[in-house]
Formats: sequence, structure tokens, C-alpha cells
Amino acid sequence: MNRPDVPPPAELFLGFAKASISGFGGVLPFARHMLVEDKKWLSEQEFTDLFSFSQFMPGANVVNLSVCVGSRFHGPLGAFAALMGMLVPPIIVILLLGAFYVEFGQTSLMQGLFRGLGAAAAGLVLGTALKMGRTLRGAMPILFAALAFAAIAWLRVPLILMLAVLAPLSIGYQWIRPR
Amino acid sequence: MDQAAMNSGLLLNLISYFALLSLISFGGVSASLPEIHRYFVEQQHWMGSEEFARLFGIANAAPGPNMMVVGVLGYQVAGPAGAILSFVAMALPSSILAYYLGGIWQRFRDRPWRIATQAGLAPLTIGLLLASGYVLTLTADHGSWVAYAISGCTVLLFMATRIHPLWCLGAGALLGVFGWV
Repeated sequence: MNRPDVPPPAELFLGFAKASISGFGGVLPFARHMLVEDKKWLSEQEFTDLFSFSQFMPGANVVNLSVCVGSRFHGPLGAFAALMGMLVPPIIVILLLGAFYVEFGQTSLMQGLFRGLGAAAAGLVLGTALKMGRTLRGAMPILFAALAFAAIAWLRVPLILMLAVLAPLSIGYQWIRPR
Repeated sequence: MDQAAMNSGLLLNLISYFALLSLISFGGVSASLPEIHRYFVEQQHWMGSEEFARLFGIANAAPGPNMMVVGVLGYQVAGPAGAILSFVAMALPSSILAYYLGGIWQRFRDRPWRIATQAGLAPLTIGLLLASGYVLTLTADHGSWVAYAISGCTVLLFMATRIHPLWCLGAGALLGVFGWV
């Protein structure tokens, strides 16, 4: 495959800046298109490897992805450039949205709009979770997923407390489980 | 306490909360929304549940990463400075962690401890995301059967078809503008 030269940091910034505000309800498909198909900075396999790590780490997965891609080409400078590309355009959009909400958010038209959007967006989160849930295999992983759900959804336990108890148990189970 | 001191206390509170959350938000920002709701609504009383749901809605009205909701909530609590600082505090610690661990993780990809860690955290992130969908649906749809219908149809369409999510958001927004939600 014909791979172009290493992209300069300014290119990384611009590429991620464009991807970061291309999509509604998630940047991932646009980041993937940019990296693999448009700019060809990564192969399909490289993208999958970097993304599975980004998804596993805490924090927003597309933000982690930008850091990994940037550092791969230019170390700390590349990571910084890609990260800024991922963060700066959304910050500008947030400031505009916030000012708009303060100014016009109380009209009944807007309140209705936000309620409708919120209902659909909540359905998207639920749908994503159910899709991912279909990949669970085995009684113990399902039990750990159910305990995490109950702790957060019903018992309203702080996240850090839930992780402090369940993460060692779930990781420990995977460690001793016969393969 | 004067206004300036109160405001800087608020900003410090937001920064320290999101900087910590950044390091424990396995499953991403979407999976952390019940935790953010717990802190903003139940613990700090910065807003009511309905306002939280509306701000979650507005964050989905604009293009950008799922993380946008953090900035929008920060704006509501402490204005533009609150928005910028919350957003950066949520992004930076996890980015630094990813920067340093990225190489290590690839190097140890076949070690049993690495495989057990990843396999052990996966069910927890799925449970978290499910809790998030559950809490958001109850919060956003409270008291409106049309809202429940929108969420339900979105779940079904999203799971059974390859329809672009934007259509669901657009339909929800349109029903909302007509005042039916």
C-alpha cells in the first residue's frame, strides 16, 4: 500500500479538528474515515489496535485515540497537536451553545426541542449498551455486568466505590478462570 | 464569602471532580453520566433532574464528541470559565495516561495480567453503559409517554436497522418543537 509521509503536526491538528465537529452523537465514524480512508495515516488493523486500547482506557475514547495517533507520528508534540484539534472546536461550540441556552433556553419551543432530543439521545445510549451487552459470554461476566448496573442505576453508588469493589473481583476472576 | 471567592471555589470544585472522573471513567463519558448526575443533582444540588435532562438534550443538538455534555453542564454551573475548565479537566488526565500507557500496553499485549485486566473490566463497562441508558431514559422521559415512545423507538431502530442515529435525534427534536413531548 502506498503510505504517504508522516503527517506534520499542523496536519494532525487540522485533521482531528475537522473530525471532531463532523458528527452528531459521536465522532468515531468520522475519525475512522479520516484516518483510514481519507488521509490513509493508519491501516485498518492499526486503527483497530489503537481504538481498542483507547476504548479500554478511562476517558473519552476519541480523545484517547487522538493522543495515540499523534504520539505515534510526532511523540509529545504530535499528541498535543492532535489533542488540541480534538478539543478546541468542541469548546467553541460549547460556548456558543451555553450562551444560546442562557439567552433562549427558557422558551417553551426550545424546552420542547431539548426534551425531544434528550429522549432520542437516551435511547441511543440504551441501544448502544444493549448491543454491547449481546457480546457478553459466560455466567460470571454477566453477573459482574448486572452488579455494576444495579450499583449505579438502583443503589446510586459513587462510580469510584463501585470500581473499587467490583474491578478487583472481576479481574481476579479472569485471572484464575480456567482457559 | 464574596462573589469572586465563591466563583473560584466553584471552578476548583468542577476541575477536581472532572479531573478525578477522567481517570476512572471506564466506558467513556456516556457510561459516566449517572455518576455526573449523582454529583450535580443529588450531591451538589447545582440543578434539578429536569434541567440535567435538558442540558443532556442540548449537548446532543450540536455536532461534537459525547464529551460535549461535560462542557455544557460546566457552563450552566459556572459560565464560560466553568465550561472550558470542566471540559479540559475531563480530557487532560486520561490523555496523559493514554500517552504514557499506550506503548506499555502494546509491549505487554500477550501477558496474562494484561489480558485479565482487559477482560475483567469489559463486563463492568457494559453494566455501566446500561445503567447510563436506564438512568438517562428515566430522567429525560419523566412524565411523558411520548418521550418514552421516542426512546423506545430509537432503541429498536438502532438495534434492528443500520439507520443513521441522526434521524432518531431529528425526529425527537421535531416532535419536541411541536410541543408533543
